Amino acid sequence: MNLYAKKNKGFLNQVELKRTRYKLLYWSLFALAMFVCMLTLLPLLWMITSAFKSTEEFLQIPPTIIPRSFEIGKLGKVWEQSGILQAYTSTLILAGGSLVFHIGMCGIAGYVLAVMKPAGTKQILTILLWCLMIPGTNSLVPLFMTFIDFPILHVNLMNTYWPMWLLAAVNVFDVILFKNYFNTISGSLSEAAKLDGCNNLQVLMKIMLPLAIPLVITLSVFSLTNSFSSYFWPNLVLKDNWKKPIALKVMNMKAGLTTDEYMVALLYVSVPPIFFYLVFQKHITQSINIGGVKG
Amino acid sequence: MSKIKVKSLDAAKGVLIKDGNTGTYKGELFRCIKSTVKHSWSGWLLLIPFFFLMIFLLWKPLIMGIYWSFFEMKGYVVGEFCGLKNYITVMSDTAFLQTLGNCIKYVIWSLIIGYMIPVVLSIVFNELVHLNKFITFSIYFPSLVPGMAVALLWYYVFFPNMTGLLNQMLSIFNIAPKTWLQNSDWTIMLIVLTATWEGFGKTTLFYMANLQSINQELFEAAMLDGAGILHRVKYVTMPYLYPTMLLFFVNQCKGLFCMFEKPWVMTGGGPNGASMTLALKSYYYAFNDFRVGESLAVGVITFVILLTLTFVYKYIEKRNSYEL
Repeated sequence: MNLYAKKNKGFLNQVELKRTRYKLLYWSLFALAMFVCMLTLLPLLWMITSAFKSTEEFLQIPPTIIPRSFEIGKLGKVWEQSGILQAYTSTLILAGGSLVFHIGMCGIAGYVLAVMKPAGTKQILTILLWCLMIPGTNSLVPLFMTFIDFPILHVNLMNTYWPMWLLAAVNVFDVILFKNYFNTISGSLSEAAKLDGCNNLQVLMKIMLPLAIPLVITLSVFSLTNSFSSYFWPNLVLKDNWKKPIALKVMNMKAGLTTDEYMVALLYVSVPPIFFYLVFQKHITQSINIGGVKG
Repeated sequence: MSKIKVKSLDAAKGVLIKDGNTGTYKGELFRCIKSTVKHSWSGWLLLIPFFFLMIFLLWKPLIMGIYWSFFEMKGYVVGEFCGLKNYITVMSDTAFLQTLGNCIKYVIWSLIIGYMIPVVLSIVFNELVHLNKFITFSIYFPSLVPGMAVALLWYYVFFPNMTGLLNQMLSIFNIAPKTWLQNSDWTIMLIVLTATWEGFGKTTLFYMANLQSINQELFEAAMLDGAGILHRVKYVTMPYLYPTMLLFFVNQCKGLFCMFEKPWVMTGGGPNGASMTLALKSYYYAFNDFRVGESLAVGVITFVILLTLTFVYKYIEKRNSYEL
């Protein structure tokens, strides 16, 4: 109960909370909060328990909240049957390429705009801010046509990972994020390094990049998460079955599996991104605080 | 690039006049350009790949999407100029008119379900001192799950036969199984419910961050003036939320007009187009019906609506920043 003493926010204050009436109100609000939390967690709980229940128990009415049977064999069955390993491998190729292009392109562009500042930086930044505002709803078909016949090089990018990789690279928001982040790093550091005889590349690799690690990790996690849930462009572009990433594959499996087996497949999609997030949670909150963007 | 060069030329002239330099005008100009280039060439060189991609993957598709919507498309090949024909075809398509109506339904439902929940919950959660970490974690958790997995999970929660969670739950109370997503009166509401389940945590946390900035003395002052709890919420708490609420409203409308994933995964726009959205319609025109011209026209119409909303958003944001 002495937790009340910590209360320094909200419309109820400590003095009021000593009276029964307000205590009652407080605990009813608490009950409401718990109810909401239960509602949010219930579908996820259902997904996880259904994945491990036996099929008979899954079909049982009313549903059991705490599973009585524990069947780990279903995991292996779905893994084999739907070629999850293959899907993970292709997702990793997709994710790796996207990560390299995303961080590389955005990082370099942000570095150039924040530190090297070539002539015309201001104009370029204005263009980038305009890009952020413009909705891209009408560019779906022209983009598709671009990938069929890529300009200048005149190659057909269908059935390769290139479209997804290139689309990951043009992330205007993250360029601005990188630029703002590099701006917060004191300029005297890079000046000192230059006086000691570093060239621009060495300044980037030895001074700026190590200091920007939290942001790089955060954006890498977001990039990985995106790759694990990307299905739209892969669906349009990839034709070979073995190239399809996990999200698309699971989506196409709707017909072939029973509901409880499908929950296992959904677990296979959603566990890796959640895992990445939880592992790097500290870095992510840290860089959100520093960058002040991306909620 | 030419603009930049002109600017450096002007700068060069300025230098000439000020210093009264002895060198010839042309030579000085040349030197000035040379020094600019020497200073910036490496930066420009590094920016070239990004610019290349930005032009061909962002700007060109955008402009060509508008331009080609006035052309007859044969598959994915540009045909002859045909004026407003694509737009007229789209506008006279009853399915498209239904889609526009659906968008209004989406907005109304998300106003009823999705909009007020985060506001109320943020006020409630802001009161609590017990189990704060658990609450934050559990409301944020759904947004960590990939969007398509969320849509598929809820597709199975709403599954029409007895394998769906909702029907199983209802059977405890002896209520007969319902068809949920296949019911054209409910489908939009249920899709909005799913989207709300996924997104409300982030919004609530954002509102809560706003509430943290309230000065506690304001509540005390209100209490001294005899304000009850409802009055305190109305006159102290809510004014802190109004600016953000307005922004989120516009943002939510924007999100609804280009909503794609949830209806595509959960209903495929059905039953009979009852949950079709503009983005989904454009996709179906392009890749299912192969009526590419019509798809472009729908894209442009959506583009215009979204651009208007964006300007409204920017206007409100600017006004807010003046007020605060």
